[in-house]
Amino acid sequence: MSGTPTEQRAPRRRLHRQRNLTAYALLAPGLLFYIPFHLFPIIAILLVSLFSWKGYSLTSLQWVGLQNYVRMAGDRFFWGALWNNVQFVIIVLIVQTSFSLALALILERKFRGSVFFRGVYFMPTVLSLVVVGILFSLILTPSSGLVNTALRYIGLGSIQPKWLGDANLALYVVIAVHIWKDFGLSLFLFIAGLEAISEEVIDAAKVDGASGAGIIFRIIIPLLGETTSVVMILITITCFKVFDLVVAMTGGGPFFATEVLSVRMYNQTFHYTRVGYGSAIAVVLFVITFAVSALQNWLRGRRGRVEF
Amino acid sequence: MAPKLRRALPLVFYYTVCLILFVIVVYPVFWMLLSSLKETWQVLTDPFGLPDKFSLASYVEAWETAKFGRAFLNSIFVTVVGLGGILIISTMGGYVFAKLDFPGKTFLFYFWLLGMMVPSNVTIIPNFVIFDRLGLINSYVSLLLVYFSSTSFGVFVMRSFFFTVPTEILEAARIDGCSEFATFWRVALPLARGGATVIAIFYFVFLWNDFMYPLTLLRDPLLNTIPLALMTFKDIWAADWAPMLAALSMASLPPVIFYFFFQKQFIRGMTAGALKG
Repeated sequence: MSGTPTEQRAPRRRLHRQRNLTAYALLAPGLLFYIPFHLFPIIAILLVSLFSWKGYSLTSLQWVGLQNYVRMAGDRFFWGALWNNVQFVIIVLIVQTSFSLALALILERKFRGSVFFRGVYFMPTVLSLVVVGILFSLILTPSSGLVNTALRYIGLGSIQPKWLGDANLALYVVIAVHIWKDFGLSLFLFIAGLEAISEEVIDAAKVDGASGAGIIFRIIIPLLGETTSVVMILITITCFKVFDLVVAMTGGGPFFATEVLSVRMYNQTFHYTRVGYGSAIAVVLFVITFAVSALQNWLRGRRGRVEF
Repeated sequence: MAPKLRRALPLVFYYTVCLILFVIVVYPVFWMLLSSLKETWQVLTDPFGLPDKFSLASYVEAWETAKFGRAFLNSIFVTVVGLGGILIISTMGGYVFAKLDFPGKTFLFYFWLLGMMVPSNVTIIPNFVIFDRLGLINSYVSLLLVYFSSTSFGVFVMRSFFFTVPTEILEAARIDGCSEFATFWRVALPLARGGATVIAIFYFVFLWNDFMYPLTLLRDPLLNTIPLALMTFKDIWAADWAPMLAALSMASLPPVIFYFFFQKQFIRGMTAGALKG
């Protein structure tokens, strides 16, 4: 009514510009850190993996193309580390997934004390892996450790495993400790998944004459498909990245028996200053975890739902 | 009798499973706390018994003689500053992506989100080289720069919480004369407090326990954070368990105590972290 259309639009445009500026101003600090120290390193590591680099000065950079990858293919310690890592992933996937699902089904019955028990089972997930690693290496010390002392007390003194000192056993001991610390997270994801299943579905099944086991295997577990895939993908990524626990418990020993990809990458880079070769191992680690994350996003997208 | 028994039987099974697991989960932690009050000889000769006399001597030894107190304060400093920066960046970012429209929004959002798919194991080598060039090795500046760059998850979670804030309220605030920043700070942020709690807890656990980056970027023992100090104790106290266990107990107490007070928020924060992919 008052003024020409251009006059009306001018303040609105100014408002827009002001809002855009606010938006960029609020994003700027975050991006200022994110781009150089999180995003750039991804590009950098791909590049560095194509160089031979002893030490960290730019003059010692030497272009070698795919040589680091060729060397990796012939490095049996790399394959050993990869195999240890794969065993780690597979064992935790099988044991932790099935165990926490079973436990979630029990705790979902809501008997007296079930909420208390859940709360306790989650506690190890807030502890540091370094604390957990050192604590369990004391507990598992062959002579004076808790476990072997207990074995002696109950008359099994003839069984005194060396645990972390035994190259055939160490990896599985570390895996068991990892599960001790981590299962609470899977448990709670399953509990949340179970709570999302409506009572009506289960009541309907009961009316149709389904038995307890039938309900669990035919109805509940299939309905938990999405939760199960989240749990399994999370476990896969966590276990491929495992570093702290191994360093705190064994440092990769004895005789490389517990060396995993991250530990090999770290030692090659920072102890032997083979920066190019270490970077190539990091790239392998990156490709694996990135592929698994991408798979997760793809699964989520296919279901047309983004959680959180 | 029979139907009663049939109803009781599963309960017996549930309690058996839960109690066994309770012992497996709690006993190692309980043993750590209890043994830290013993003297080393007793930890080694009588690991299951109660302490002869409860003594805090190991705590004093760890805290003062071994300078664990210093590491503890260092960890508090790094965690508090790191958390502060992450919270500011994440709440601002989450708000912008949820509530403002501007050119390049979708691109920038996914561009930032990409960071969630990159583990710190991968960024560590280039970052070490960058900080080495910049002369920032052995300084908290480098460590904090890394922490301030790990905000993708926080932005992502805050965005979903800001979606739940009604846009009408923000419009009303603007009409009442709030500036764009005041609308965010005074109106939207208080309504998304729940999200801030979730990411604060997630990042607290991450920062307090972080090991790989401090291990790589810090050299001077005076700068040690708790996990680094514990690793050096592991070597010097290989045979002297009581102060080792005292240090482990002190390292665990803050997160464990927080957890028991804010259980619901912790579980929410940590499982949200699980869903980040």
